[in-house]
Amino acid sequence: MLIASLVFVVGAMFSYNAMSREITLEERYFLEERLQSAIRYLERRMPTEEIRREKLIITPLDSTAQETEPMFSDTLVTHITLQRIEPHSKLDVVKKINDKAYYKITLYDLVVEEDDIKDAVQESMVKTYLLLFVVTLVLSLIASFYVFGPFQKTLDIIRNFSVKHEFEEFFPNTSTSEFKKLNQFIINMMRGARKDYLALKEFSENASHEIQTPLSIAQGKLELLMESNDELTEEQMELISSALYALKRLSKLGNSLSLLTKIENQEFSDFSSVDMTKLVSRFLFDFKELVELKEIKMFSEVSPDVQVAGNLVLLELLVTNLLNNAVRHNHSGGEIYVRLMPNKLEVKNTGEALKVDANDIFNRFKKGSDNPDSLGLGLSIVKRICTEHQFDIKYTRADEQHCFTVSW
Amino acid sequence: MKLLVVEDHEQLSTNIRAYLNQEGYVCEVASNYQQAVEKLYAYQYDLVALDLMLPDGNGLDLLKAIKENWPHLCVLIISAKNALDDKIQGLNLGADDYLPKPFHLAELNARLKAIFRRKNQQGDNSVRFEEIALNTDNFEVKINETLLDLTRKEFEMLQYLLLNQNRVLTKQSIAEHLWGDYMDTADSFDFVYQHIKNLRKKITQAGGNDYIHTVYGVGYKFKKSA
Repeated sequence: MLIASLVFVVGAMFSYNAMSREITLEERYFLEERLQSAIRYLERRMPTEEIRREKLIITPLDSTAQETEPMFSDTLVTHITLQRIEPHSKLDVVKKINDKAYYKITLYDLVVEEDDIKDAVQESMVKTYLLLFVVTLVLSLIASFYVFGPFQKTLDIIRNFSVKHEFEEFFPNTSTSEFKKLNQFIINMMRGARKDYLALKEFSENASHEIQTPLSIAQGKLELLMESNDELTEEQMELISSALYALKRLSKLGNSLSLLTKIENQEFSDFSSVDMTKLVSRFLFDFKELVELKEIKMFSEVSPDVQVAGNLVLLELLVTNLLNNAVRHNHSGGEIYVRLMPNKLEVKNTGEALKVDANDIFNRFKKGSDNPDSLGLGLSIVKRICTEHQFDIKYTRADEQHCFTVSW
Repeated sequence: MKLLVVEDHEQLSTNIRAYLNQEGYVCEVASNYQQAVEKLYAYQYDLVALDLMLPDGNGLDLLKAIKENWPHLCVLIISAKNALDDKIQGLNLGADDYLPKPFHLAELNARLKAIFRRKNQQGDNSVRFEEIALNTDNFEVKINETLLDLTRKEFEMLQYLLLNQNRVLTKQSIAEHLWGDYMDTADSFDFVYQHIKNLRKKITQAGGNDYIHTVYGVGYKFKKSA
């Protein structure tokens, strides 16, 4: 549009020049024609007096006068009807009529002013420009609707594409070959990404449960070995015991990872209304023993009848993971505050400052403490569950306390 | 008690058999679907320990077949797939219990015994060990007719010890039996210690003998002689 306006300015200049040239020529032809009719008039009448008419002065000259060529000039004359001075073009000529007498003929005519031409050109150009603008706009809208319609749909499909979900392999028909190619590329790319994702998913699913069988075997062998304890020394028993502990850890790790994968794969899609009041109260009761054993004081405030739409299993995991976290990263004589509000769950606990950046706390294997029992997956699971339910989870630390807030 | 273990991993079935033989079970092993069906037709069993992933078929299908043809046979599912779906489906299809891998052999033993007792010794829901009588119906424990005041956890622990007499029970195995996976190992060890201490005290105060022996660094053993 900017370019178009430049073109229009240059075009206006050209058309202005052409028009003013044409108008000047026309004026001259017109004056010359009137001159001819004045001469014809003089040839018939041969007046002796000066004649003054509108835009015409004829003065008889004496015989000493010389014939001249028509002279064009500009002058200012009072316009009779307009009653103001207007620029006129003037034609002066001395002519010998019927080979007898000389006359000076002066003719005037209104000049079309340059300003007027300019105005006219400007006006017409601006109008044309506006018209062009509107037409272009309308046409481009129509074009984008019809021509780019399929393209828009393609964009929509790309925007909604996620490797996690089955995608619609339906691309709109388009006659534009570029779009056809584009759609083909995109389909191939999406299929590829989805295939790789499924392979990876299958692998991690299989890997995490395939390790459980060999772990079972190893654990069983060690337990059988322990049965022959009469021949085993205390030290040997301890060795077996720590091997069993390591196996358990490995198995938990596999289970946690496969749980994460399962949540990501949305295998817990069975949502219903869950009574959080009941759920939280139940786990507070379950954790009471553990909390007392660790000499931690637990304070709770549970609002009645809090209902949340979600998956029961996942919400249970969410609450137990948060509580477990609060107990684990606490110290003897510490405190835990659990507050269930109609729109949020808050778990606060005393504990040492984090060893990692607070932003990394929800990432896998980012451990905020040296606790050997911590796998570094609990909070990732919490985060994943929140994402799945579109809950908001925030971590803050104030007054030497960790605080997790889940709001829904 | 005759048990069929349907499990394709030979090492695992060997472990199970070795452990359960000492308990007086007669243990047979089938390593695939086909073999399991053949054995089921050929012999009589009291219990089936069933792995869900078999090389030539799905364990759930086998479970359906068992429930159709031998409705009174008890089935314990053993699975590496710790999937809730499988568990619910399995129990709905008539399985008596579900045990995810890896499991403690003592846990397997306790579960099998619990199933067996539930099914085959109806009316008599008590376990006796010398002067100790434990009733699983009303959760009562009596020492020579003196009623013990036990917490639920103490009761479960005593039951687990009784079901695995003369076995070394690791603290880990006890903790898992009582609290599942949620407790931290370190914490649960202290926990087990506390409960064992209280249980011992309550039994001896009621005039019972202390049959709980500490296996240092590992766990406990419930046995008659010191």
